[in-house]
This record gives sequence, structure tokens and C-alpha cells, in this order.
Amino acid sequence: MYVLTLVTLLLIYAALALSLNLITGLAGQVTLGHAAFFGIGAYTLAFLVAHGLGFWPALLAGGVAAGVTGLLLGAISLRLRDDFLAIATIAINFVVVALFLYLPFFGGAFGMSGIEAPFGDTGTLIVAVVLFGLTAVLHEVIRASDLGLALIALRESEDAAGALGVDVKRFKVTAFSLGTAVAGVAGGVYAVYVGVIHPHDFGFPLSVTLLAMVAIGGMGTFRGPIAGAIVLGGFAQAFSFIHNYQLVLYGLLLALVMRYRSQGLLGRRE
Amino acid sequence: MCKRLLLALALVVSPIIGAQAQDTVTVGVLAPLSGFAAADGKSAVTSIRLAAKTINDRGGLMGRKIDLKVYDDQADPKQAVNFARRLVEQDHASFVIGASYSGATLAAAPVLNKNHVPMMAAYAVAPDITMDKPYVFRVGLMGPVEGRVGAMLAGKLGASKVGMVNLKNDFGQALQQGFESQAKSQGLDIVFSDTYPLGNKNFTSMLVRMKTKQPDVVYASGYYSDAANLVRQAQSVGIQAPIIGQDGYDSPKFIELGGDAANGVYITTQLDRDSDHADVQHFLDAYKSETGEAADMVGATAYAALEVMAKAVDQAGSLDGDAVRRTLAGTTDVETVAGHVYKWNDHGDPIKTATVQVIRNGEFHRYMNVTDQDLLTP
Amino acid sequence: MDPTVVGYLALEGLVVGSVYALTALGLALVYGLLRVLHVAHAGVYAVGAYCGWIAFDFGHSLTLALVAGAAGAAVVGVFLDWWFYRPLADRPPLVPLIGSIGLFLAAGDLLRIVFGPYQHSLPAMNAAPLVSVGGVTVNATQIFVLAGTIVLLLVVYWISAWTRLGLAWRSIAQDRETAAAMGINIPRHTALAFAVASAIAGIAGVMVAVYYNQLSPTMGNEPAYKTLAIVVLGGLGNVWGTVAAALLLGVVESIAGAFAGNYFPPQAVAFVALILVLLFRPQGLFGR
Repeated sequence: MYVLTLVTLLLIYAALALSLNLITGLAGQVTLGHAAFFGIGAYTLAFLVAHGLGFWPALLAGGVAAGVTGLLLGAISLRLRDDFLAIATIAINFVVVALFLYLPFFGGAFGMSGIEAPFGDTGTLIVAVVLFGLTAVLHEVIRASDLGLALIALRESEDAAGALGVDVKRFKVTAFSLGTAVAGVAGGVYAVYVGVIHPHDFGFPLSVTLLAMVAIGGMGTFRGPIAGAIVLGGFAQAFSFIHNYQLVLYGLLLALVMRYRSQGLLGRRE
Repeated sequence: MCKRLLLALALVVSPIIGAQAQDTVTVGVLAPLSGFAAADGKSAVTSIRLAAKTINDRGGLMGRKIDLKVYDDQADPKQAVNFARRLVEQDHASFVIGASYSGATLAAAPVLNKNHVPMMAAYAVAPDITMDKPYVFRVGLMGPVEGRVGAMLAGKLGASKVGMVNLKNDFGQALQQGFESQAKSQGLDIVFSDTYPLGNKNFTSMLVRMKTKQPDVVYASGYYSDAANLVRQAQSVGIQAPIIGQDGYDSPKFIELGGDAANGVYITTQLDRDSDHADVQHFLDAYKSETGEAADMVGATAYAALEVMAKAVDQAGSLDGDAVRRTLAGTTDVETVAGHVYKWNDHGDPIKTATVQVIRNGEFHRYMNVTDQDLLTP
Repeated sequence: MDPTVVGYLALEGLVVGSVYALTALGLALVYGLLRVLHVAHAGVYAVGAYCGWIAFDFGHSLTLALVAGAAGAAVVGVFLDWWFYRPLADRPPLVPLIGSIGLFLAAGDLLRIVFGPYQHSLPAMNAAPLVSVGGVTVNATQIFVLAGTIVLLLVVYWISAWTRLGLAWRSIAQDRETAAAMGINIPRHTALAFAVASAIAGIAGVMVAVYYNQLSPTMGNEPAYKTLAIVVLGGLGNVWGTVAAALLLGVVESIAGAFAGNYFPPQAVAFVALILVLLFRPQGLFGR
């Protein structure tokens, strides 16, 4: 039972990592604020369910809310590159968390609690499996499609892609919207899984964790983000006997992998 | 590809399949030992270990030694949820001490309640923790109650105009609610009220605006590191009115970091340094010799949580969750190092004494104890 | 509105802004040369603060603390340049950025493991009012921070405008290839930049520890995010723009804290400003 609930969390992480991979791994757009979209999905679901809406419509609404906000991020990304974009996404993460904290209908500092899982623990696991499965399928379909090839071209060289007639703008914005929408849906599933959400659950540290999952696993690949999600998501649980050293080990792992094997553990060198 | 993923999964899962227990009582502890809340987690776990040692030295729980299973939840709800499940399913804990912050405790509580494992929350303040959960109790002072005590103290100090600086989080909000409702019934005039986010270190501008309203007393909520900045900056801008803090200030660190500005500050809290009870002095001495530092409120409530659970088990004569729960619900008048508990109400929240301490010459001393049950009932 | 309130706003804003300026200028300097966001710089800042604290605990001399803070931070900074940034020079910027974040997290937690999670005090000066300027009382720690910042900024100005080192830095920042072709030893000048930037950050760390009478393993967290925002606001790589942006931010945060505390966390000012600037003026407030 305990293992199954852990697996549920890892599935949510894996879906999140794949959604981030669409943006950062495939399209090469740095985002250090992905947790904000996860949070938008979670809060949207929690809020709607508390006001009587059913689980499935609320889940969809969470995805839409996150995806629409992602459109905004996509629009911002059109004017920025790399470092600027990274900083902008950090800023967006902070602003979104501040909104969760200060807007009264989100419960403020108390957060939102008592979010009921409509089908119990096993049901939530199944929903997480479905989430992960659909995300994986979406990811692979995109990677193999024209859109995917275009995104990869974008990553290699934005100028060249533009010169070859790839509509850079449309693809960037699409990548952001899809990635953030999936994150929003994952957020809704997470909300019923954990039952209580607070603004700081969706802050910058989580965004870093997610990016680390993708980077350590191997950016742009399929297996990489999934392996990253399992390793880093399960870290704290698996190594609870060295609880005192989690953060330092995790930070060092990140630094060392970037220093010595930047393609990630499962990635291929370019 | 599948093989590698399975290997990764196995590597993660295998250390989890844990060992089995002997003839001891397994007591679970959820506390933040790393991350931003690590300082409080350390205080809490140190104190719980001291309490366990004290109980074991006296013969243990019904003759069996307490075996503590401590998990670092990093004050993170998703970690807490999973460790709570682990405590129930793998470690078979007889009961759990919730020694973490509100968010994490709120996530763990439903899991333990559903599995009929009694939980005693030490210092987490969110009201929902105990709501609708018969197996979940709390030993710490409730936020709104503490706020009311603060207003009572303001009146006692002769104030009629109050300036409030409130921490913007669940703790600060709860204190503010309690203070404002009691202040209204006492006829106190709140001439200034503003909030600040957790971790804010710059209060000068806000304090100066408050000073122009000339309050007789300042009610400022916060945790000791922010509070230390607040009192230093209050001194720097020339605020003479006494400052009333709460048990978030209750740590020797507040005195160290606040320096000379900490003298004369009042706090409403649960640990009476000048207590006549032998157990309290024993705790204070043991903590000091164990860590070299003076004990704080977090440590005291964590110690009290285990104390109280152990007493309930002994009284029930059984480790069965239902028996312990019924005993706790029916308990009256139990003395703990964090004050005297008159009883638990229907939610599982304590009606207990509070104390007001004042800092003189760099030390906490008792100013008065609060035993008015009307004021103290949540 | 009471005029002393304005005075206090300016005072607090400038003190807080000064510390931001000292930390962010190092970040701007490194970015100008490497085009990499050295997030771990906030870790260097924290390490410097702890080195200073140890020295003060040992010798009770503030001067010793400042020297120790500068030296300790400089050593770590130069090491990071040599071990981490230089070998990753030809990688996409995302790689050193993520690694730098990892280093920052590890540094903070390492400080916690070594020194414990509790805050420590650096009681070099107390907060009692010392002088009064037009109704605004100023204490010793504030004078210390403001004076120290002025001195350090003058030093940086002198280096950048009057020495060959400064000239080399500007050349490398402007056009790396040409600078190399002209015989400027880029690795050596970069290492020196790290040394100076880190030393200043280390001193800033000690100043913060004295001003608030607190240092903690997580003290680098806020500077880590904020200095990034400040560096963009000032125009990426523009050292003096960064300083101006830092001081401005300090004052605006002070105003926000004084009047909008109920609606808006002062911490968010930096980020909202950042988003607005990125949308409407990406070269920064003071960039070209």
C-alpha cells in the first residue's frame, strides 16, 4: 500500500518531467518556473471542487487554466532568449506563488485542505497511471511529428530554423502551452493525492527539482525525464536513513552531472 | 529501456522494505530535520528523545521500551503523507508525534486518523489538523487563544491604544483573529495594523508609520529570527512602548539575536522557566546539558506531546488505538512541561494554561500565569 | 505625510539596496565576462559571511572578520571558476546554469550541516540610535553598511576605470575574440574577476550579518533570486546600471513594505519589475 502511494507520486512527477521536457528538452526553452503551472492546476481544481464542481471537469479546467497562462509565457518567450527567459520564468514562479498567498479565495496562508480523492487511494493511483500514460503518448507523438522535428530544429539553432521556414513563433508558443497544460492537469491529480496544498508547495525549489529531473535524466529524450523523476522524486523516500544529507547530496548530484556528463544519465552526446 | 527503468525503480524501493520490531513500543515522529524548518525540527526531536529516555528510565511504557522512528519530512506535505503511510504500514507505530509545521501535519493527520493510529500534534497551529479527526489531538496552545491572552496582557499593562504588526501566515492570522476579538470586548483601540511576509527582515519603515499613531503597546507576531530584527529596529527608531510577542519568539535564540533590544519584551507562551514543577525543571536541565542551549517552546511542546501520550497509554493499560483515544478524550487535569491541560475539547484541542514571560537581563522569567478557563477555551 | 517617514524610507531603502548592490555587481561582472548566470554567487556570499563570523568569534575584531570574509569568499569563487565554469565554457548556457543552482543548494545545506540550522549572531555593533539627522535616528550598523558600500564602490570604480585590469575586463566583455587576439589572457582576467566579485560578496555577507545581527545557512536564498532580477533590471552585464537598479529596488521595497504590507509582499517587487522590464524594455532600465 505504502509502495503504491509512493508510485502514485512518482507517476505524477514523471508526467510533470515529461511536460517540462516538451518545453526545455525538445524546444530548448529554459524554464525555471514550471512548478507555478503545476500549482495553477492544483489550486484551480481545489477551488472548483470546493465549490461543487465534479472532479473531471475541474481537472480539465486546471489544465486549461495552466495552458492559457502558458500561452502568456510563450508570448513572453518570443521576445527573450536563454538567460533572460530563465530569469523571467523564475519571476513568474514567484509572482504566481504570491498570488496564491495573497488572493483571499485561495485560502491565503492556510492553503486549501480537505481535498477529497473521489475514488480513494487506488483510484488516484489509476488516475495517475492514466495521466502518465497519456502524457507519454503525447510526448512521443510530438517528438516524432512535424512539430517535434521543428522543435528540435529550434533547439539546435533558432536562426537556422527560421531561415528554413519553420514558424518559430508558433512552435515556441505551442510548446509552452502544451507543456504547461499537462503540468496543470498533473497539478489537479496531485491536489487530490496529497489532500492539502499551500502556496509554497509550488515555489522555485520545486521548479528547480523538475528541471533537475529532466537535466539529470537526459534532456530531450523520452526515458531521461522519467528516470530523473524516479531517481529525484524517490530520493527523499528511499534515502530516509540519511535524512540529514538530502539537499547537499541532491545539489552535488546536480552540479556533478552538469560538470561531467551534461547530456544527463540517459542522454546521448550530441 | 524497460530494464533500466525497472532497475531505477528497484534501487529506489528496496531500502524501503524495512526490518521488523522487537518487544518495544514503536513511536513514530514526523519532524523537519532538513530544509528551512530544520532548527525547530532539531529542537523537537532532541526533546522527544529526552522524553523517551525519561520514560524508559522509569520503566518504559507498560514495561516496554519506547523505540522512536523519526522521519525527516522537511516540513513538506507530500513527504509527510508518505512517511505517515510508512509509519502505519511498515513500522506499525502505536502512535505518532506530529512535531512538524502545520502544512506537513495537516497532510499526515488524515492518514493516521483513517488508520486509527493516535496522533498528538506538538506545536502546529492550523485549526483543521484536529477537525473531524477523532484520533488526532494537539497539545500546543491554539493560535486564537494565544491572541486573546495577548489582548488581556495589553490591558493588564495599562494600554488603551495598540499597534499591531502581523505575520502573514496561518500562525499570524490565527493570533490576529484572537487578539482582535478579545481587544474589541475589552475596548482596546487598535490604532495601526499591518502585515508582513515570512522571512521579511526590514521593519523600519512600517514601524515608523506605526510610531506616528503613538500606540501604548505593540503586538507583533512572528518567529524569533524575524522578531529579533523587529525589536532591534524598533529600538533604533525610538519606539518606547512595550512589545508583546508570542511563543514564536520563545527561543533563547531570540535573546541572542535581538541582543540588548530583547530586554523588556513580553511573550505569551507555554513554557514557564520559573515553574515550581519538578518535571519542568528536569526538562530544562536535561535539555541544557544535552545541547548546551536553553530549551524553547517547540522543544517543550514536543516533550509534552510524548509525555501526554505515554500517560494516556499507561492509564488505558493498552496500546490499542481506540483505547488510547478514548482515554485522551476523557482525560482531565494533566500536568505537562508545556503547561497544565484541563481537558481536551470535542475536536481534540487542549484547554490549557498559558504563561506570560518577560525578558530581563537576557533571560526569560515569569511575569504571570493565565488560568482563566473562559479566556483559554478555544 | 510625516517627513521623518520619508527619511526612514530612504535610509532603510539605501541600506538594504547597498547590500543588494554589492552582491549583484559581482554577478554582473561575471556575466559580462562569461555570459553565464553565476547563481552560486549567493552561496559564495553566505560562505563569506560564515568565514567572517568564525573570525569574529575567534578574534572579536570586525576588521579581521571583513578580511576573513573577503578572503574565504574569494577562494571559493576562484575555485568555482577554475573547476566548474571554465571547463563548461563551450556548453549551452543551460548546463552551467543548472549546475550553478545545484552548487548553490549544496553550499547552503553544507553550511547547515557544518554550523547547524540555527541562526548565529555577529554582535559587532548594537542597534541603539547613534546620531539623528533631521529627526531620523541612525544607528551604527547602518553607518557601517553605507560607508562600507561607498568605499567598495569607489574601489570598483577605480579598478574598472583606471587600471589595466578594468580595461581588460571591458574588452573581454565587449568582444571576447578580439580581446584574445590582442593577447589578453582571458582565463587569468576571469579568475581575477571572480576573486574581486567574490571578495566583495563576502564583505557584503559580513555586513549583512552585522546589520541584522544574524547569519544563517539559508541567508543566500533571497539574494540568489533577487540579484538575478537586479542584474536584468540594470542591463545584463552593465555593472553601474546594476548598482543603480539595486539601490532603486531597496528604496521601492521599503516603500512597499511601509504602505502595501497588507496587499503585497515586498519581495515580489523585484519580480514584478523584472517582468515589466522584460516585456517593455529588455535591455534593462539602464541598458543601452
